[in-house]
Amino acid sequence: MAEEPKPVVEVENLSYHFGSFKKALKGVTFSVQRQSIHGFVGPNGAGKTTTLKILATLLRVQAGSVRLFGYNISQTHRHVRSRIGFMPDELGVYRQMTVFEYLDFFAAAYGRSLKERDSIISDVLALTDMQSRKDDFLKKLSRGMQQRVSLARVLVHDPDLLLLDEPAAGLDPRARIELMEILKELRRMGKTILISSHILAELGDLCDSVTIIDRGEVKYTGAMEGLVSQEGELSTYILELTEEQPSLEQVLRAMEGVTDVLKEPERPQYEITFRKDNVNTNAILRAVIESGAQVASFRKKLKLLSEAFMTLTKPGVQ
Amino acid sequence: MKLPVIALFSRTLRQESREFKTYALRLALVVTITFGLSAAAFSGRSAPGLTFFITTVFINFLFITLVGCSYFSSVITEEKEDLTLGLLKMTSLSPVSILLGKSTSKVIGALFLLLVQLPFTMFAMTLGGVSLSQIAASYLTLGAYVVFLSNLALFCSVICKSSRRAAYLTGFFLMFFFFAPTLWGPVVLQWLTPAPPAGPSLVLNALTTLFGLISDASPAAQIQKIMATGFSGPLFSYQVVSNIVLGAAFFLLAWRSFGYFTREQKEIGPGRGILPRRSSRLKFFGAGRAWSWPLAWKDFHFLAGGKIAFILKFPLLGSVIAFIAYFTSEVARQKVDLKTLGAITMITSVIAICAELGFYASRLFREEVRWKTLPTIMVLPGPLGKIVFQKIAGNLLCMIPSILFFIAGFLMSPQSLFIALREMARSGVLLLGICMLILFLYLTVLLSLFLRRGALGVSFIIVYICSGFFALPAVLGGVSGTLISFVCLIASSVGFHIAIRARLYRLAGQ
Repeated sequence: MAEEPKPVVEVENLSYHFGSFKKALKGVTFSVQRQSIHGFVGPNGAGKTTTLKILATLLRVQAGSVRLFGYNISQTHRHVRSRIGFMPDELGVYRQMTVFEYLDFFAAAYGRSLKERDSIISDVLALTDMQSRKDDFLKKLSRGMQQRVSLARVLVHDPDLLLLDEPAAGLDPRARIELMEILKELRRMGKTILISSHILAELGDLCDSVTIIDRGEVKYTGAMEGLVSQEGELSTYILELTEEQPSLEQVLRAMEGVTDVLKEPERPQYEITFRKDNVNTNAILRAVIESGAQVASFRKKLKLLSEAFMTLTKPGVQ
Repeated sequence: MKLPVIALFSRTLRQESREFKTYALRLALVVTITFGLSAAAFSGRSAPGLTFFITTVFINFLFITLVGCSYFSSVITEEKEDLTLGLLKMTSLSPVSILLGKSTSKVIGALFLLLVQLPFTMFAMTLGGVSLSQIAASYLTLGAYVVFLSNLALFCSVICKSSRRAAYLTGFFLMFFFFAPTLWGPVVLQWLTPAPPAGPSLVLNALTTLFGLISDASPAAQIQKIMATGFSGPLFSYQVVSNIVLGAAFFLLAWRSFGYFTREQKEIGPGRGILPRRSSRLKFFGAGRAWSWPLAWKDFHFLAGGKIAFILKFPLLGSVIAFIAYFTSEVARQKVDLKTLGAITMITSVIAICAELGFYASRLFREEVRWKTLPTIMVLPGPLGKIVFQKIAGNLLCMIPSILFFIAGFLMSPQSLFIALREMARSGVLLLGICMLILFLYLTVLLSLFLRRGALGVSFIIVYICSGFFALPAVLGGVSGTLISFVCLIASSVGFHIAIRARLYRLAGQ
């Protein structure tokens, strides 16, 4: 059997505190697989930026361990920094430079030769669709454009791992969609992307896996499917009939293990909640058919991303 | 309900009272005065009270001038930079309420700094050599100067887009205020003086009066008068009255021009100066392609002004040297020979080099912090030392004109340099001077990572005050004393070096 490739990012029991009292991270553990997009989601003040800054080697690891590409970053930055591209939440661009000067500067800072730089800059500008703006001053560009230039800057040294802190913050819907498309393209190109956001729904279509963090603690980490599927003792299914069956609601309620039946007004549709250990879907379906109802569909109810997020995180800010 | 003007005033006052640096500054001032007092008491000189008092007043004057320029000139520009001025204007606050509410708290803060010293300066009387009227007159002079400077800076803050520009403009006006009567005045008046048969013109008379009035309004001149033995002038002198009147005039100007200069709210970014872009016809003077030392390239072009600033420094420094040479020849009433010109060139270029070093040190990381670009350079591969080294190299490149002038001065008069170096080396001043300069630069960089503005001025004053303590072992203990001073200075610089490193990582991670 082929050995499973090692994750690019491995964070174990990471804790961090600012000063003596404020604990920003409390034993954070998650991993990011190669060539995947991993969402890092949490409300404001959850510890997303602190985690990303530790991964970007801007903050030191106080407790726990962080391994990037197999290297422990507490011991060495040397092998790591040239392989990561970090885009902070505050864009921090040299707004007095032109787009070309900005990218040329960072390409040179990552040790690219003059010859290499021309083709690299041309490639990243094409990827971010900014070729026509290369001689414009950064201060003249809109926030969305500046985000694109920042993304282009992150790519000039062809890093394997991109750490993007709230890249879609402040963008209009169109710019968000365009940014997500660029990120999908980057995944196709083989990049591993860790992207933070405080809006889970924003990352729904984009991410392969997700970590939800709240008040410095990981509430969920794993595949997106796992987040929207249901965990726990209860299960909810949606039953749709071809026509109304007035006696069905009573039949279902009488079944042992069924805890709730909700009828959609003016539609032959029911939301049935039951205890998994008392009753199963076969028994429910059998009872429905025996009552004479014509079944159009019977499916598990998936949680909405926003619903999952609200369930996992507490109200209020830290 | 509070009056709107009171609300803004109390907000600013509360904001400053919450900041640690407000108290740190007061404590530092009191500690300095206490040290000065002790030093004067044990110095064994005659009239130690006067010596102590002159030093205190001089430090205050220096502090108000250097720090006040940036402290007061940010009153309105800080709201412009934070894009909050528009929000203030949308409230029921009138322009005069905004100006009063914002500036009064800062003036009161500065006056508090003067007030907190008064009980200590009274000790000067018990030490002898200074009278109560001298103390009162001095503090009134300084207080009036604060009123004048704060309102001048307020006006600059209203008309300028950024705090930096406002501070430069305030500094420019102050230079005119202090140097117009003494330096430029005599030159201008001499040019305007007609040949002997013709009488003095109306313009000449008017200018002579004007320069006289400006000269009398100068707090520096007034302090000199107060410190003279047997001072018996009025407490409310012409200087005090004129400074307050000038302050009121600048406030009126600020008020009248407020609407015009704040009608649009624009996001303020780092300036590019006169650097042309790649597509421009003047692209030779532009930044071109990044060098293999990219941070040196960036700082040379975008922080230090690039090729154009580099070229402009030659005529600028040249004309300053020419002016000083001309002034010297006028004072000495003889032609300046090559040897003297060489000495003037060397001294002027050394001062320019020191000033440039201080200026670049104050901006080395400040601009990165200010525009939030520090994290992007701190994650670059390679050690922090490499980043710092490249940045320093970029800034040093811009000092080549001053260095070339120094070399030219040396070629004109090599003996002057050898003699000066020999004298300074013999007394240990050379070694201590270099160490002090290094300490000053380190402290400037460090303070620029803590203070939003005024790091250069504060650093200069701290080093100026502390220079006496550092030099004390050298003065008292000969060669071994010099060694102790040297070790203390180097140890302090190493401490600052470590602190800068820690602070940079902290800021990048914030």
